[in-house]
Amino acid sequence: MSFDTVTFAVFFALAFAAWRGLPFGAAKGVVLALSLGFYAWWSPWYLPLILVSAAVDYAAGARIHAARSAAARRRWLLVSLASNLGLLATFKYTGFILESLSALLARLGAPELAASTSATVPWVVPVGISFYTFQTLSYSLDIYRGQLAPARTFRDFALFVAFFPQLVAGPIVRAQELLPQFERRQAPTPWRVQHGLYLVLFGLFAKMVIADNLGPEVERIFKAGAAGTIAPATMWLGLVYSGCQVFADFGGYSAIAIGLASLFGLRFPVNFVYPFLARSPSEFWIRWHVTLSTWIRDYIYLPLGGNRRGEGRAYLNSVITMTLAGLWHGAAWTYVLWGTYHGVGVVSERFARKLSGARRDPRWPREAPRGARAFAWRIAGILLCNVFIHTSWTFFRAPDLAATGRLLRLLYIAPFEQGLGLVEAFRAPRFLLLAAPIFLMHGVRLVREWYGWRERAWHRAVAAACMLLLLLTVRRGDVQDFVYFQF
Amino acid sequence: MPMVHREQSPLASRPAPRAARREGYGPLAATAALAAALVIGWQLLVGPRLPEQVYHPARFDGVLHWVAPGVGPFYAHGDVAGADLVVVGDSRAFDDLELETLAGAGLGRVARVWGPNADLAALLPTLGARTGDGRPRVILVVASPSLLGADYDPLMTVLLERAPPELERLSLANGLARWRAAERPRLLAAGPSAPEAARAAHAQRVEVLLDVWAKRLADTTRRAGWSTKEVDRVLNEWVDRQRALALATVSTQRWATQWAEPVAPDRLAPGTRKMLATRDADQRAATRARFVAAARAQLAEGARIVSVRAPVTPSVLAAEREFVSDADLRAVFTELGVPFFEHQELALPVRDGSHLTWRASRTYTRLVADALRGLGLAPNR
Repeated sequence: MSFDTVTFAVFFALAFAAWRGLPFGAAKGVVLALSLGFYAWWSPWYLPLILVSAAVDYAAGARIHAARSAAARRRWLLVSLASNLGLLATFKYTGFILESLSALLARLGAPELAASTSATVPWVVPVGISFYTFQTLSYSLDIYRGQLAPARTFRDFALFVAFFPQLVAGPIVRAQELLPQFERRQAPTPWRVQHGLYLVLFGLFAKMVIADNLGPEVERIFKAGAAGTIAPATMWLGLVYSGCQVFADFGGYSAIAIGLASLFGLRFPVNFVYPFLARSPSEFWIRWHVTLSTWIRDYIYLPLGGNRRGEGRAYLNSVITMTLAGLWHGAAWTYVLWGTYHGVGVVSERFARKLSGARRDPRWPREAPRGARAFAWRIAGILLCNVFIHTSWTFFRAPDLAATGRLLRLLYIAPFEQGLGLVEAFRAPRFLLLAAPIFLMHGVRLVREWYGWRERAWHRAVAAACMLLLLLTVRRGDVQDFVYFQF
Repeated sequence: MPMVHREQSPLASRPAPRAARREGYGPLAATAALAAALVIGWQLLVGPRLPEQVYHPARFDGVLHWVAPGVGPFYAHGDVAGADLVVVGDSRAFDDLELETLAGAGLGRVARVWGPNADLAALLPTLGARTGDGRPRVILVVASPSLLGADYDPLMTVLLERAPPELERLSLANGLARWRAAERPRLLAAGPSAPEAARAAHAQRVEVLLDVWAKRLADTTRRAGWSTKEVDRVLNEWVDRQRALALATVSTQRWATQWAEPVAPDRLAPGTRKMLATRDADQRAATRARFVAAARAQLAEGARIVSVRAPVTPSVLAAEREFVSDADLRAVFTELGVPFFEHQELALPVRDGSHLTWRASRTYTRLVADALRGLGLAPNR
């Protein structure tokens, strides 16, 4: 069930009424049942998967907490890790592993063996598996580290895992953040309700007006780009549209999830903070999919040693961590490369800083740039970082590595051979209009960050009214799946 | 690695500021009032300036209705087997008759099976054949000269030579990938071997066709059983239709056709001529005989058949009459002894010469519904 359907509106009304109207214990039980129904709406066959995953982690968490010896604690942690990573490996990566193995065997001159391993797996990736396995993993790991007490009841734990706003596409909410909020029901304050409604409206607008309308054009441009039948400038424009589409889609989903939680009186963590204002790859990951970047920092980068084992090891750890983040997004070499590309970006930035002797940068400059020169440098930094970010969509969206290569060639080599082709690129300016709200919100935010411009209630009222009007009049008619459902 | 700042964001869940905690629902009321004012302003100032929405707001291409190798394609809307009235025909059956309006006119459960340049002789025997006793009570044939034979896209013919695979919902992505991999070489082989530009153009068409069909095949799996997606689709289409009926809406995907290509009454006249010219008199006679036999079989099974000929522009009508006269088409239904309503000269807005605009299709559907009720075809419930 998708957030942008009428079915969901009916479903949410039921869940909200139950949450607010029933005694809290019963409310949690009913919302848990509804959340499982929400998941089953997509495919009931994978419902046991999420239940088994939750049961294993609940049991493992309790055992880790109760264990007297370090060995026993480690043993139960391994059970949790094996269960979660096993699920991910089986359902998400089997096809990828078999395909890669088959390609490797074919290259090594063993075509019979290659053919025997090239069987297509008979299942699709269960919706949201990457999200809920990461949530349950953090639960076991946090208990193991002594940072979290186990959930009091299986109902509360299962609700944490399956709570419908964040179940299929995040944000990745950790048990430390959500479980304590299931202890006591929060009253629906006017601020919380209005904030929640605003976020839901923003999310629906971003998804249904911007992302859904940009989607087909982005697809067209990427296909034509891979076939080499468009001008380089059109491809660059397609990359910008692609960034706006993914942000509007995923950022929109996150906003709806956070807004729905707010209506329930719950707080979800930040997931997007105006990512296209980043001035460096590392700042981009402070602003983009924040719950994933903090997860991989806490559970992969830091356990690998972080930057505590010397500069070289920090570089390696960054690349490993970002590569795994890429693989988390999808079981394909294009995603692996996408992650590595970002890892190399983060490392290059760190290396450049070291070379220039710059102190650790503020990264998030709140003060206005002093003077025209500083202003120009800062804007140039943002633009340059956007070139880096948008180039990465070639890995993210291309169907295979060969297509990625063709797209990169079109972007970086073809302009010198055949010119940019600006006239062709701007033949369809209507799509710029669709991307305009993304530019506008980033621009307003820039002014707010640098010049301390405060947001007033009426600003939100005007923005909300405009979004509502456009949602009613311009949105696409048919339902499009959220991009991150596939992850 | 990045360190996350405790940053405020409209996309974030943030603690309520002290001042905000005290606020009531004033901002919400102000937003609602402002939004209402904007919507009214839009309706009064922008709405009248927008071109008419020529396409149905929730047009769904339909699930695949497989008829026979090399025939079709046919698409089904609604539950064909359990319908009281099934509309069949070519693209005019899709564009000119609105199912919601027919159902709302008291004609019972309504469904549709349509195909571009439909070969109804191949289609009719398949209606209800899959569910045994689920044969439709009334069949409404949207007749046009293409009933007696017309040209198909050769590439489509190649695609249709093999029946589509049975796809499992859980392995849909893999199944479609396999189908694509198997069909691509066949379709490419059907194209020109030279020159390079023609080959490239053909390859591009192949990819488009594979994309379109992959979507159709994905929809087809909905027929394998009850699907929650179907509930979402039906509800969403209903809301969308109400939205478009009450508000002046803009479809960005169709800006090009809505704004740059407004209603063009003669656009399809040359295409109609070209399409009908591919069949000679003997071929038409053979197709006619097959259709009459198929229709008789349905009549013998107890179905009632009614036929209509939908409005077109004079230029398209003239092109049609070059190949099939009005009398020839009329004679088919006279021979079958079924009612035939000839509306081809009815003056209604036609967006491209051959298909009505959305608003006109609703007007025309009401007219057809009246005619059907006049024949006593509304179910007794």
